[in-house]
Amino acid sequence: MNNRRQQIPNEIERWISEQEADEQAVYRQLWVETGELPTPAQDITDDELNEAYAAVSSVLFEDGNHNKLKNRNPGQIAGRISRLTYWAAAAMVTIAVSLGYIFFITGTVDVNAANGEQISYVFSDGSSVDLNSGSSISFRRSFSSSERHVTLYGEAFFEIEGDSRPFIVETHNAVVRARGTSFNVRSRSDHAEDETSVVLSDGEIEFFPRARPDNSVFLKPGQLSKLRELSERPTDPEEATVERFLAWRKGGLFFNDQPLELIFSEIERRFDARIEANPQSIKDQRFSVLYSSPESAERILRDICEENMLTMNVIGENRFEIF
Amino acid sequence: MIDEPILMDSETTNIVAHWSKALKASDREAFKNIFNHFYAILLAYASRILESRETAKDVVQEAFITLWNQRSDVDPGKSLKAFLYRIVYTRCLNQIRDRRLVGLNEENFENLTSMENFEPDIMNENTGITEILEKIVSRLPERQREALLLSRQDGLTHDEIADIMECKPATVNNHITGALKNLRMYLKDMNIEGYQ
Repeated sequence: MNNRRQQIPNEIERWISEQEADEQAVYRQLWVETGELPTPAQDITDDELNEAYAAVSSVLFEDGNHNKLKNRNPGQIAGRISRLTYWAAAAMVTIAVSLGYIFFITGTVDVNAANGEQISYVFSDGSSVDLNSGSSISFRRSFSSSERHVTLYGEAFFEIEGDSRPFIVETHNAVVRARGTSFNVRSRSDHAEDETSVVLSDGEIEFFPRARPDNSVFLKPGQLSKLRELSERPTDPEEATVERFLAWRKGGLFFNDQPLELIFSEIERRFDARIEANPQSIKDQRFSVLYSSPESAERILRDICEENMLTMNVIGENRFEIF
Repeated sequence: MIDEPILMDSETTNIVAHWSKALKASDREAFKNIFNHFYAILLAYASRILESRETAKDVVQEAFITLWNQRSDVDPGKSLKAFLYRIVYTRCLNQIRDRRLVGLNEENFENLTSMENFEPDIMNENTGITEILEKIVSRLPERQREALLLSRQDGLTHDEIADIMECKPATVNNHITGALKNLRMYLKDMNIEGYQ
């Protein structure tokens, strides 16, 4: 674990500082060294993980799944076949391990763009992603043999390499299934907005609610579709100005007739700013914003305030009060 | 453009909080995500307590079944990690009790605050500090060892550890500082360089 915290928690630091002066360095050293103790192996193979999940889900979910039960009824034969497959898989793993190659090391990778920053990341299959401020993705270190799966929190632009496995982006309420394409996904679920929206630049994608995979829509290049909260189906694909939805990748900011609450949230993320608006009702006013390369949060907020007859005070570095 | 992924705790917490919320609403995909995310670290944790990977597997899988069955009790505002660790911890202790290893265990853990049972022959002047530490950490009183490792190896906060060990955060602090004191004392007794 390379992200193991080396920092000493406040409570411990306080205790250490109460010790004799010549003991303090020893305790700090001990703190560091205990963090480097070997842990029982945390890396497990994909097969182990899938097998473990299958065991758990068969206990919990199989009753409701009639297809699976039907397949199982022929009993012993099916059982034997699956066990055979299992041993074959196990043998392959053993061979792989004994050759010294462990192909399917798992473990979850989290990539995060904090407020105030944007980052790019290239996956092991060559696909890449640009993450907008205040967004993150989480995925298994090695993709499985059947799909490439990424969980997104926030907004990101994906460029997917063609591959026999579909590339799946999952958000809080929706799923996007793609092959060789590039598209933008925005998924926010806070006070200001609770929806996932997808804009496709090229290729084709399938977009559906997590809970209703059957209610999917297919997007063509230049089209946009949204899924609000927990609605049953995404909106029909409509033509959209793709460049505007991708403006954030070049540092731009674009919002068409959106409540100020949502615009403020985005400015907070982009510039790592804090905006306090009183009374709350200010945030319900709607506004359009289009900046190709905004220089600062203050500049945008001044423009917004001027247009909406609001007053702004700067109350600290990147901290603003609007009333 | 960056070359290194940034591994972060706080944003992962965001995703996990999402999953917790969805789990509460009986979302199986969220359950699967939680499983994939936490299975390996929980397995390592249970293996550490039980010293048997096979038993640890059973314990962790049962823990996830418990998680699903108790999903309505999940509080998305609280640490799901601590919730899972606590289920695993309790189950590990039950496992040890069921196998009537309690006596052995207490012997292992409780009477070893002194260096009496220490086998100096397994070590020589070439033994690295990490190996020495590993051995003496395993001889700390159980609660001290548990609190120290949850903090240092699993990177949990004092509040999370308190949840898992069912005690107050102040007690966690006492366990950890007690553990450091004991380690320091052992090392001093052993005349390890830098610790005399």
